[in-house]
Order: sequence, then structure tokens, then C-alpha cells
Amino acid sequence: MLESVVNQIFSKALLFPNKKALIEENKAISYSELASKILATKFALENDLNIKKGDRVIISANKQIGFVYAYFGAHLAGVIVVPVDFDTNQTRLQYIILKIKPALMIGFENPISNIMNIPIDYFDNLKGSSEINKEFPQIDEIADIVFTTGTTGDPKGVILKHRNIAASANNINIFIQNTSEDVELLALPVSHSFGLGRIRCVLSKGATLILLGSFTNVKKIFRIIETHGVTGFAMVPSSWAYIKKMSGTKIGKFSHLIKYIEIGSAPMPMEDKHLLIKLFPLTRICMHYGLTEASRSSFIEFNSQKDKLETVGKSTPNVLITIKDENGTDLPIGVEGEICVKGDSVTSGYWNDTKTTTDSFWSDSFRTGDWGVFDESGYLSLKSRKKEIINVGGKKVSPIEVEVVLVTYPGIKECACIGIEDPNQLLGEVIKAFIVLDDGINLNFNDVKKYVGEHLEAYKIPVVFETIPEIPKTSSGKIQRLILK
Amino acid sequence: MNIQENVVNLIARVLEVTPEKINEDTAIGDIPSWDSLRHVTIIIELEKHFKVNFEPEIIMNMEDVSDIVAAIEERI
Repeated sequence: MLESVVNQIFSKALLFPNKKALIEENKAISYSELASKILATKFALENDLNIKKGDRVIISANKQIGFVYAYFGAHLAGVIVVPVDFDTNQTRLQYIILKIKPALMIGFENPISNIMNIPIDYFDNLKGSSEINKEFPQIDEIADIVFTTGTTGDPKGVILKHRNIAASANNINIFIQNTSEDVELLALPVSHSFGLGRIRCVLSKGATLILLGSFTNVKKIFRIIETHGVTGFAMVPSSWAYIKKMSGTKIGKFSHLIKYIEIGSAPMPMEDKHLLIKLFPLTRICMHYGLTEASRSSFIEFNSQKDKLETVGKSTPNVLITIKDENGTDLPIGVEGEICVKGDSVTSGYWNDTKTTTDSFWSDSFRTGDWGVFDESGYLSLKSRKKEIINVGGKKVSPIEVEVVLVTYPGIKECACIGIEDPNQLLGEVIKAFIVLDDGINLNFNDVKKYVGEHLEAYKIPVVFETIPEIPKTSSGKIQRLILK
Repeated sequence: MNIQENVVNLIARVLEVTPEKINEDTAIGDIPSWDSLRHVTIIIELEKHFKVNFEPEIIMNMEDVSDIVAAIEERI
């Protein structure tokens, strides 16, 4: 029977109380300490902060031990967690606040008036609790609401129940073949489903997780791999491009230690896949295809499936992928259609958005909006991604979000943004803005970049600008971004 | 302005912080905006500014401002 991830962590604390669960810099936390901190956090939320079951809390997600306490403490209290990036722009944050009406915000430097705000390390120094009368959340209660980039520009709140996240962690652990002996280095944002998912995978298995700020200091990564005997890590293709740029192929010297690498979130150049195979011939190099709504729907393992590297692999264990036509009818092998996903790991819909929820399902199959085709051997090929969403180093950007900022700049009459290949070969895609200027105006686009940076996160700033006489549109006035590609 | 001041000013500009926040012991990641994207930008800007070239081996060893200054001093 499927148990919530927080329940599984407490089981692991009974099985191996002294085993290291979390490491951050020089601090190591055992499973029994983790469990007692989670319990103390639950009591603090309920008794000191007066947070009730079903309330929402927004947590500014950075890679800190305090985040892990807050996240699972909230789950244990039946509170719904809304993780957001620590550098989320104010417009997006305000939108999320209006949408979910939080009772508490954790870890924000600039608190929003009239919403209670506490620092992320609030729970670090709580006295641990060993109270045994605890009730675990029901498997079909909501655990998280994760906001993703919607095609319309407004973020959508994906509902993830304890069932969804527990099933997902279980499926991933089965495919990757994780064990409680693993030591994983986490250098991904934990506000995204990939990084957050890794925390759940590792802790539900009883393995050890090392929290590191980012991949930025490659030498430090190598040092940690060596000193802690790291057996696996997760990365997005742009992390790999960065490691290569900063250190060449030196990481290969640790291949005898690394049992697994999970890769996801963005397409990866074929030569990078072959290089990984060469450097890590005995490692399970597992690349997934998935969405926040349907985490890790398919997987491919590079070394054992090296003749299928152009595909996104086969359905993940316990996940059913079908290809459907525009009426929701299953299509046969070899015929291209919409990729639809079914299973315990799949969301039940969007927070307070019945219409989008209804439109996103054929019965209990989630419609990804991506197009693909199965071959005779069950391998899925991705034909096109959800139209128009730009993938900057694994982070999804709606072109509309950037365009609405650009048109407020004096002198810009109209604009349209698309994703182009990163000229520096680092981020996969970067944003290109096509601009129509007001008559007689000349602009310095460096000033425009600075202006966008004042309103949006750095990765959303267009890298390339081109002025054009007009933006191509349909007869109903909708921007035809694909024509600009 | 000496090399260290030049380096500090350049890093501060890329990270969008005041130079006072950076000293020779400031390391990658000490300032939240010093992420991988900004780090690449810093390296590229340093190469342009000082007209030098860094090999991956050298880049990997740049963990804080003093490492960066030392690498530049060896090349100019």
C-alpha cells in the first residue's frame, strides 16, 4: 500500500535512526534527527503559528536544510505547500498569493503586508520532538501546489496529492535502481518538480542527500563527490554544458563512484549523450521526459538503450502513456498524436481552475499538449513540445510574460518572443525578441535588457533582439510566433 | 586602479551588487546572484577586459576572488 513520503521518512528513521539523511556544508542530520525536526516543525506550525490543516503556506525554496524541515513538517500537519523560487519576480508572486491565499509565507526577505512571514531557518533551532502520537496525512489529501508556466502567460497551480508524489518517487526509484546506500548530490532548484522530486526520492529510500547551492563551483562538486563518496546526482542538460565548459571531461575520473545520473527537463544534444556514455560506461544514465503534472512519464537509460538515444525512452514503471487524436481516441503504433499520461503519479488538476482542469484530461488520462509517436518496441519519440513555451536551461518561460514587459518600454510598439538555440551552447534555448519600434525611434537594446531585468528573473531577459516592420498575426490577431522561428 | 579593484568592480557589475559586498575571500555562491550563468558571464567579461584566456583547468580552480586575481596576474 502506498504511503505518503513523510510517512516513509518516519519509517526510515525507525529502521536506521543514525544514518545520515541530509548534509549541508559541515552539518549532517541523521534520520532520527530529521524525523524529530519534522515533528517539531509540525507542532510549531500548529501551536505557535496557528496554521490549520488544509491551509496553504508559500515556501521560498532554496537548497537549505530549513526548507526540508518546513516542507515535510507542513505535510505532516496536513498543510499544503506551495514552493516558489527564491528569486521569483513580484508580479508572479502576487499572482500566486491572490490565487492560493496563503496563511503563512516562509523564507521571504521582503514580507508581503498582512501575511505572516517567518525566516527559512525558523525551524532549524527548534528543539526536536519525539512525541509518538502523530497522524500521517491521508494519501489523497493535497500535498503541494506547484505553479508552472502556462501557455497564456499566467502560471497554473498544479495540484499534487500525497499519492502523486509518493507514486512518482517510487516509480523513479524503481527505474533508477536507487538503494538506501546511495549518497546523492543535489545542485538543482528545489522549487521545480525535478529538484523537489529528487529530495523525495532520496529520503523515501533512506539514502543520504547532500544539499549544495548550485553547480557553479565545479571544483567544490568534485571535492564533495570524493570526500562524501557520492553515488549519484541529477542535472539538466545546461548543467552538463556548464560542467563541460568549466572543467572539460575531468568529471569522468569519478565514474567508478557514480552509480546513477538523472537528467531531465530539456532536450540534450546527441554528442553530449555520447560523451556521457564514454565518460560513464558503468553508470545508469537515466534521462526522463515529464511535466510537473505528470512527473517522469518516460525514461531512457543511455548505456543499455544506446541505440534508441533519439527517443525519450519507454513509459516509466506504473505509468501508462497513450497517443491520442483530437477526439481522445487511442492511436495505433507509428501514428503521431498527443501524448497522454495516466497513473498514480499524475495530477488531478489545477487549483481553482475547473475549466483548465476539464480541458486537460481525456477521462483519467492527462493531456500533455506535447506530440509524439510510439515505435514497435515501445519507445516514445517526442515530435513537438508544448507550442511556444521557451526552455532556458530547463526553466520554462512563457513568451507572453516577457512580451508584456517589453511593450511597456517607451518606443516599443509591438513585440514577439521565441526560443532560439543558445549561441554560447550553454542553456539549450535563449529568448529572442522581435521588436516593432514606434516611428522614428532608435533604441539601445542593452537599456531594454536592463529594464526587463528590473521586472523579471535574469533568465527571462532576451539575449537577441531584432527589429522588424510588423509582427505576423492570424486574422483574429493572435501572434504567430512559430512563423518567426 | 589595481587588478583586484578592477576584478571586484567587474564582478560587482555582473552580479548587480555594490563593490563593498565583495572582498578577496568572497567565493562563488556567497552572493545569491553568483549562479552558473553569472559565473560564465564573469569569466567571459574578465577574458575580454584583461585580454587573457583561461583554460578549463584554470577556470575550475577559480573558487574565490583571490583565485581569480591570481590567475589574471599570472597571465598579464
